[in-house]
Amino acid sequence: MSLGRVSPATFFLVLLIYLLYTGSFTPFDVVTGCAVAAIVSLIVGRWLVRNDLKVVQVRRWAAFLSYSLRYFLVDEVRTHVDVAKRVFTLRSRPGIVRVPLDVRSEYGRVFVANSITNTPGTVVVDISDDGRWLYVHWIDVGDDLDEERIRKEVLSHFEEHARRIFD
Amino acid sequence: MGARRDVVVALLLLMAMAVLSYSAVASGFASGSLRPLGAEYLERAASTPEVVTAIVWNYRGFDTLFETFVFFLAIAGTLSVLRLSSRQEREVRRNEEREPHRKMDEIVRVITKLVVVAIVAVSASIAIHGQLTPGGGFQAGSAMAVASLLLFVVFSKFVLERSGLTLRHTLTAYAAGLAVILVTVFLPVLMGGHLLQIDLLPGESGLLSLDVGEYTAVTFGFLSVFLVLGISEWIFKGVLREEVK
Repeated sequence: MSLGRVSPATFFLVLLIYLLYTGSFTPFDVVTGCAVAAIVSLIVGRWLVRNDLKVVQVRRWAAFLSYSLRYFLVDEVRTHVDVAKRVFTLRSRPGIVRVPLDVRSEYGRVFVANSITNTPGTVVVDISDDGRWLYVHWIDVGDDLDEERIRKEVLSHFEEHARRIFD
Repeated sequence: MGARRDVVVALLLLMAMAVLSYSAVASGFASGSLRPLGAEYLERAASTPEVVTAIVWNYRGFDTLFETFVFFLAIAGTLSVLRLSSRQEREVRRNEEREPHRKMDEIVRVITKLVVVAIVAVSASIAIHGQLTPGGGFQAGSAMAVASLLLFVVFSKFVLERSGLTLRHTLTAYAAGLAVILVTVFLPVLMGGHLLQIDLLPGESGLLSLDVGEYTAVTFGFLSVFLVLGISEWIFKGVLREEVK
């Protein structure tokens, strides 16, 4: 097992989870945490993180911050209000739509899928094996099944952020 | 009509929960002070600030020790019923290579990767801080068993086996865990004390090594059984039938 296989990002991720879960920061915790993180990152190698440089690039974190602000303050609120209205008016046209997805990294694709599922009104039910199509259950499908329109309404801004953060 | 009834039921449940939780808090159910019984155990404890741990590894130390052996018997039993000779094991491998296997989809795989690594970190923390929390080795090992199950279900047991982990490795690790526990149990006798008198060992090292030993034993005990049980029944019984011929 050569050291070139070890990912520093994995090491710090494990150390962070360990310390957060332990909830204290004594020398004993740090030493045992480092030991655990070293063992885990030796075993899993590049399984979690393939390119460690991406983790330290500031523009990716900035993109993540701007995504979080927009997502939690604007998108979430808007869709929550929309679904809350539908609960009372009972107006819904549910169905499953296939949406094209164009993100290169697997974390990016999962990021888009989870953002969609987290948004009220849409749930991802499946992803194609090649990762280029998402099957999304949508509360308001309507009659116009134009792929580009659906893509725009359901995921295009998630996709953009996912590319800026992960690709 | 049905909708209105649902709303009434939901409101009643919410109100009942509110009353219950308020009365639990108001009655001082969780008071800040230590009760005399707890204080008594802590006084006799082998260097632990945690009442449950104080009881488990002193007053009930033997109970926990024998629990480990019950678990050992269960694993030994399973493995002797489902044993394979090394020639049969090779044959199982050959048959399994022909088996189609399928991973779950990408979303589940990526999330599982992260969750499994998080479980390993959390379980290590539970085991290593066994002297401070009511947790300890067994709980941590059970958490690790969940991690191995997730890997089996979402990826495939072949992912583990093809990266070089075989039953031989997991059993060796299991035995190492048991050895750590045995050494910790008998060491006080050599030092002039009696069995399991771990407060003779320096500081909290007695509790720590018992917890880490238990953690290793439970983790790899479960993993060994999973690896054997993961062999397809058709293949397993086919290989066993060869014995009769």
